[in-house]
Amino acid sequence: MDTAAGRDSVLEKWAIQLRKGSLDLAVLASLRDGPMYGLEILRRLAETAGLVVPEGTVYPLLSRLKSEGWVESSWLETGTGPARKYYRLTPAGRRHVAGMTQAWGEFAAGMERLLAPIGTSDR
Amino acid sequence: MTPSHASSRSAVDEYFSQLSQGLRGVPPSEADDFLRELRAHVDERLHAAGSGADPAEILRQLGSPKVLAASYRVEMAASLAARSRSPLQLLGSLLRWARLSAGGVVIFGVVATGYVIATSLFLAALMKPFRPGAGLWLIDEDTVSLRISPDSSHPGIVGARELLGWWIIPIGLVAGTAVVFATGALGRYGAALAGRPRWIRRRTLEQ
Repeated sequence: MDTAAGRDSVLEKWAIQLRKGSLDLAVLASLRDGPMYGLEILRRLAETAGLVVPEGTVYPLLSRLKSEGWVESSWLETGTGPARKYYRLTPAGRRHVAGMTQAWGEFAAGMERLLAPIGTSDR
Repeated sequence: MTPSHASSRSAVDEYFSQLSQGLRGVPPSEADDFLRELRAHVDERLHAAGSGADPAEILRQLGSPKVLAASYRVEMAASLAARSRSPLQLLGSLLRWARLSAGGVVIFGVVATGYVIATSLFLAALMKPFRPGAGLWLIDEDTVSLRISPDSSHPGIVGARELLGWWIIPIGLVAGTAVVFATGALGRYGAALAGRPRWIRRRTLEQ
């Protein structure tokens, strides 16, 4: 398995797990500026964060975030196209994002300190 | 409508009929809402792409309907378990949830044990008329055994005393039913508690 392709696929799997683990935060954070619907969230993730996720994953995730009480949703008619299901943060959701953001910042800063020397010495 | 449009319609319809099948058992209002949301996604994508729209590609990016339905059930496992009506539904949702979290493993274990006990009580009660050895037996001073289907040629156990006799029938049925209800309530309560974090993780995170 120690071929370049093998290493790449292991790395790819790891990167997928990493993205999965942070998707809750990414989706909730993208709702901080106001209500959005699924496709809009997907675009926001891709454009702002470079997070390209399989499109199907975001909808079940939004359903769960709603059942957990972090977001609420409502259907809005668009006039021309199909109606859109908009999601917005609840007050509890807003507090949750703030807490997650802080935890993320601490975690990222710690990892940064740990990884910084590797970048210069191990390459 | 051009032929390619007609065939694309049916590809989308086929996708949604499979997705709808995959969501069987999910409360209809929620399943419908989820289907409608994804339908809106596909419609907007098709609309944005105009005449050059490739429905197959749009559907491919969404992932297979089977995977999408499974992923909905997994994400919603705790929530669905909390509202399940039948023991099978409850066990299925808890099993899916158990793959994700330690809390799910514990609740699944408790609920599965409860249902095994209830089933044993029912079986002992129902077998009693056919196998007289079925029932609750005191084997020795500190061993009580619930026997379901003992060898018919050997109805009793040497040195053992039967505790309930024919009373195992009404008592087994009533106790079994009580255990089923208690187990269901416990499982749903556990899932609701763990599946709605805002109830239990109420920290002051406001900055």
